[in-house]
Amino acid sequence: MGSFKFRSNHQDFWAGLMFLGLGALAVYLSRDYPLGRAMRMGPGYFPTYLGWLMITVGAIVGGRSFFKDPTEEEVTTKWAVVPLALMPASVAIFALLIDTVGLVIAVAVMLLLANASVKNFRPVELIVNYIVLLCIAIFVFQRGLGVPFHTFWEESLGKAITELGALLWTPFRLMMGS
Amino acid sequence: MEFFNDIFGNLIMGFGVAVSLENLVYCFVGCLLGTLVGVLPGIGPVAAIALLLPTTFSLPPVGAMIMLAGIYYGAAYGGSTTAVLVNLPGESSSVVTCLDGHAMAKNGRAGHALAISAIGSFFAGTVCTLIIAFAAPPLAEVALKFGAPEYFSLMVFGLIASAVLARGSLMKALGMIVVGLLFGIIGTDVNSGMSRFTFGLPGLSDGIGFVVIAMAFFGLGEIIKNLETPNDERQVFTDKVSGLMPRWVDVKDSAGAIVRGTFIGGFFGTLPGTGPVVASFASYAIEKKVAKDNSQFGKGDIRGVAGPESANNAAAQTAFIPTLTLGIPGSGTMALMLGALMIQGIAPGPQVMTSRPDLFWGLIASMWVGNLMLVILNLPLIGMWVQLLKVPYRMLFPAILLFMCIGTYSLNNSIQDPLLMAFFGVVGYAFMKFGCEPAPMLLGFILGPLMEENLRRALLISRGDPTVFVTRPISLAFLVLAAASLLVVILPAVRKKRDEAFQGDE
Repeated sequence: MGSFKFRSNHQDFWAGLMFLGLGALAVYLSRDYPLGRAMRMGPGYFPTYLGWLMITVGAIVGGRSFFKDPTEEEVTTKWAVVPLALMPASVAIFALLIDTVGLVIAVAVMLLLANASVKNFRPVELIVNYIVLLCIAIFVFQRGLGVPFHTFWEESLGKAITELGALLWTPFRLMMGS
Repeated sequence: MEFFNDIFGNLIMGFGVAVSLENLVYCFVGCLLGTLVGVLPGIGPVAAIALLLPTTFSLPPVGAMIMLAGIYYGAAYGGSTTAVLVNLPGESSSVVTCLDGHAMAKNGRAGHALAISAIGSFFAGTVCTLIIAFAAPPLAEVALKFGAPEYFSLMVFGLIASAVLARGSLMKALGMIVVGLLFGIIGTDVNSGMSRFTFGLPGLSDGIGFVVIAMAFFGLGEIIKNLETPNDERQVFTDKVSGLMPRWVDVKDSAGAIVRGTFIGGFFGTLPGTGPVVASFASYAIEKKVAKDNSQFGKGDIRGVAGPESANNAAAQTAFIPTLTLGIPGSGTMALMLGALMIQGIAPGPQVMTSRPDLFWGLIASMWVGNLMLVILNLPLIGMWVQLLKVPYRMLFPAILLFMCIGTYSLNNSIQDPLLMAFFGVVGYAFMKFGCEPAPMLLGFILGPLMEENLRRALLISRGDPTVFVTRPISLAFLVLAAASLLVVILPAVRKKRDEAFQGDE
């Protein structure tokens, strides 16, 4: 037991804060939903009480951090800011590009962005990875499993490639029996 | 006697389903993909199942479940390969295997360690298939009598027990469950038709898919975390693994450990929480106590591999018991299996056994078939897995990333799901940074809507009287169990023991 003091390096403080925030948000949003009575629960009943439960848990978790020094495991560690920005960004860029410019470009942009988080740039590795992944995306997911991706921004260009792919894919499909 | 005849009749029917060519192929593909994922550190079974779930949507329910189950226990097998050869647990359930397994590899006995872990796992799988076959029908019969109050209390117990048995802080695990329950509310309320927590976004009116949530927390969040430390180079211990044929003396030495591990694992697997992890630790501790000469433990004692490996495989199997009979998953992976059932249009619960006997018994039989496949396939394929281990993470994570993008996109053929995943990936990473485990969140997320519905029904029956939960004996029993398991952890003496049990589980 340490003395009462604010410890910004304690994971529990931040975890508690996040719980508190979520709980408060839930209660705030639920104010518009009819509460109903216990016998006929309205849509607001469950979320409101859950919100309060969340606030309680958050207060306990966060509150404890004021009384106890963090153990070695509970000390906050540095955030990986670069991957934290790049990984979701590369997912997002894939999502934003896929319906307009198609797989070939979307996968390339995604890979480039994701790879920016790796220290040493290895162009050969990246190209090999790109080709392998693109092939899997086209032949397994687009052709094999029927995910409706464009290959290119223009259907006719993509069609020629996927036709070729279908040809190569045939023996495997027969093997799978589908 | 009739009971036994029924079981065996059902098992034979199940084998009839499982050994159809189609299902054998699904089982094989599942096992192979599972092992692949298990071997590769940095992608866990939850992320793997979530990744591959969309590809099973087009399969018939039986085939889909068989394939997913194959992925699940394939991952358990694969995890031990990495533990022995690289001293890196492929899965958290093979952390203990590193201790003696890798020590054996250093002594040039990697083959023996892998062989005994395969044999132990197979034995455990066989016994647990029988345990499931015998335990599930009576349990389902009891569960069929449950009303809404019992179900609600059972879920409370299941969630609390999973928090108690989870790693790390109890309060934070409970908090993560509530986070999951809140996420589960997002969408349109089935009873009133009201949109809740949708922020006016039309895309959220159907709620967030559990695949999206699972990939965000277990896939994307995990990748960001792994990239924190740029340790690119992995030292694969041996290029060539020899001695894969088990020696008789090894089998004799570890027979006791295997049998004990199987039953320890079988027990822990049925409990909610991190069954296989706890089971493997418990088995290791017990083997160390039971052994006459335990001086070799940690330096390459074969019993230290055989026991925990049997235990984690046994636990992985018996985890299906509560999931299949009660419809209550005990772990993140089981939550996904349950979600997969729902997507296939099957309401999970005790009625599955009677309404879809082919699915239930086919799945059970396929577990045994899958275990057999893993033994036959895995040992010869070790060389291939070793090669795979050499693929550096910097080439692996973009692949995982892309498959997650495609997987989420294919859920609804819409770009909204990958965007949601990107957002929740950040949330998941933040929680991880604050020491909050994602598994309880996933359980809460899956059970949330069921809990609300059962609460509503229970209070409707009782005309709004909340005492219904304590006046019905079965419901009361679950609540007492929930309270007791909470107390057990809060009491300091036991808490110390619990921390000890998790020591080294990093």
